[in-house]
Amino acid sequence: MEDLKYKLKEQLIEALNLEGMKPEEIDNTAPLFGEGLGLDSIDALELIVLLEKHYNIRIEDPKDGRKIFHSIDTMAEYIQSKQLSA
Amino acid sequence: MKKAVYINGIAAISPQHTFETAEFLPTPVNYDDNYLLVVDADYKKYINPVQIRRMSRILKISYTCAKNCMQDAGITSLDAIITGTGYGCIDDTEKFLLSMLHQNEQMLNPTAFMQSTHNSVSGIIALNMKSNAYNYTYVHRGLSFESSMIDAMIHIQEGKKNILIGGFEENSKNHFEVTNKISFWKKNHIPSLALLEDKNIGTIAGEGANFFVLSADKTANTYASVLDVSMLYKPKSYDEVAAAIQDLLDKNNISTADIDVYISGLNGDSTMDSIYYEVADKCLPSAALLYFKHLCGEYYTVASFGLWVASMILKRQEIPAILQVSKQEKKQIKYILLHNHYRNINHGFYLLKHE
Repeated sequence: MEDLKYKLKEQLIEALNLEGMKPEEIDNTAPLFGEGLGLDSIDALELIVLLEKHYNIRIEDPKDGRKIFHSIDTMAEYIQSKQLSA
Repeated sequence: MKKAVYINGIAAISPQHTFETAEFLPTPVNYDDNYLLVVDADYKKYINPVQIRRMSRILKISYTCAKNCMQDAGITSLDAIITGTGYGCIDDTEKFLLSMLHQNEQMLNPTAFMQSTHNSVSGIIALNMKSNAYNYTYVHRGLSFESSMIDAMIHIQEGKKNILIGGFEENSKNHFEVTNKISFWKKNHIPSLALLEDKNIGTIAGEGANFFVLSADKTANTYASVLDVSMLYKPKSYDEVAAAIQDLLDKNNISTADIDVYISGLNGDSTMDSIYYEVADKCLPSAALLYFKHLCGEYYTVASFGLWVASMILKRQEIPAILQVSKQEKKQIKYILLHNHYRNINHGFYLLKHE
C-alpha cells in the first residue's frame, strides 16, 4: 500500500506538472483540492485520465470523484479496492 | 489625416540575450545547430506558481514577453490585444494529436488540448489582465504578424490609444523533422552566425516571441513610428517586389534615397535570398543592408523579431556589427524599410521612422 501511494504521488506530480515538488512533500491525508495541493477542476479531469491510463480504472459517475480524489489515501484505497475486486 | 502610430514598448524573447537587458545584442550567441530555441527568461518572476505549472513553454514565453513589453511602455490597460502566429501552440497540438493516435482516441489529457489553440496566448494575456478589450489572433502563415500590424494600425486610426501586438512561434521536433524532409532546413550543421557563408539550400529553424505596444501618442519611451505596412503574395519576379516597395514609399511621400537602412530577411537559403540582394542593389543602393535571421532562425512570424531590431536601431541610432551585411556609415538613421518573406510566398514590408 505504501508503495502504491508513493507511485501515485510520482504520477500525480508528472501528470499535473507540479514543478519542484517531491513525493515526500505530499501528505497522504491532506486534501488534494482547495487547501492542501490546491488542485482545481481541470486537475480533476487529469486525475480521471491518470486512473484510467495507469490503473485501467474508469470512474463512471463523476460525483464519485469528490470522495475518491479527496487525498492520496482515498485514491490509493479506491485503486486497491478496484484491483482486489477485479 | 492619417494618425501616426508609435511603438512605445517592446520586448523580445529570442535565441539571443534580448530580454531584460539594456544592451543591444552585446554578445551574440552562436549555435552549432539548425534548431534554435529561445534563451529562457525567469518566467516565475512574471507568472504565479499556480498558473505556471499548467502553461506550455510557448505560453510562458509569450505571456512573459507581453507583460514585460507593457512594463516597458509603462501602461497597465489596453484597448486591444492582437497576436500573429503561423502554428500557434504547435507543441501542445502535436502532444494532443499524438496521444489521440497512440491511445486510440481514449484517455486524452485535457490540458494539452485546451492549450493547443492558436489564440491561447492572446487569451491568457486577456485573462490575466482581466481585459475585455478586442482580442484577435491572426493565423496567416508568413503574413500572420503583418496582418496583426495592419489591424492594430486600423484600430489606432479609429481612435484606440494603446494596443498590444505580438508575433510568436515555437520550434517543435516533430514539425522540424517533417519540414526537414522537404528541405526547409540545412542538411549540414553550420555555425548560426556564419549563416550567409553557407551556399546550400535550406536555413535554420528558430522560434521566439516579440511584443510591441503601438500607441496613438508619442511618449518619452517611443522607439519609432510605423508609417506603413504592406503585404505581397507570391511575386513572380523581382519587378513585382520592387513595384510593391515603390508603391509603399510613394504612398508615404518617401523616395528610395531616403531609406537609410534596409533590414532584410536573408536566411542563408540559396534559393530564397537572391530577391533581397536584388532589392538592395537595384532598388535601395544607398541604404545599409542588414539581416537578422542568423540570430533567431526562420519562422512564420520572424518579421516581429526584425521589427524589434528596427525599433532598437531607430531609438538608439546605432547598428551592431553583427547585423551588417555591408558596412555603411550612417550619421543619422531616419527611415528603415524592413522586408521579410517566407519562402518567397508571403512578403511583408514595414516602413519605419525615427522619432
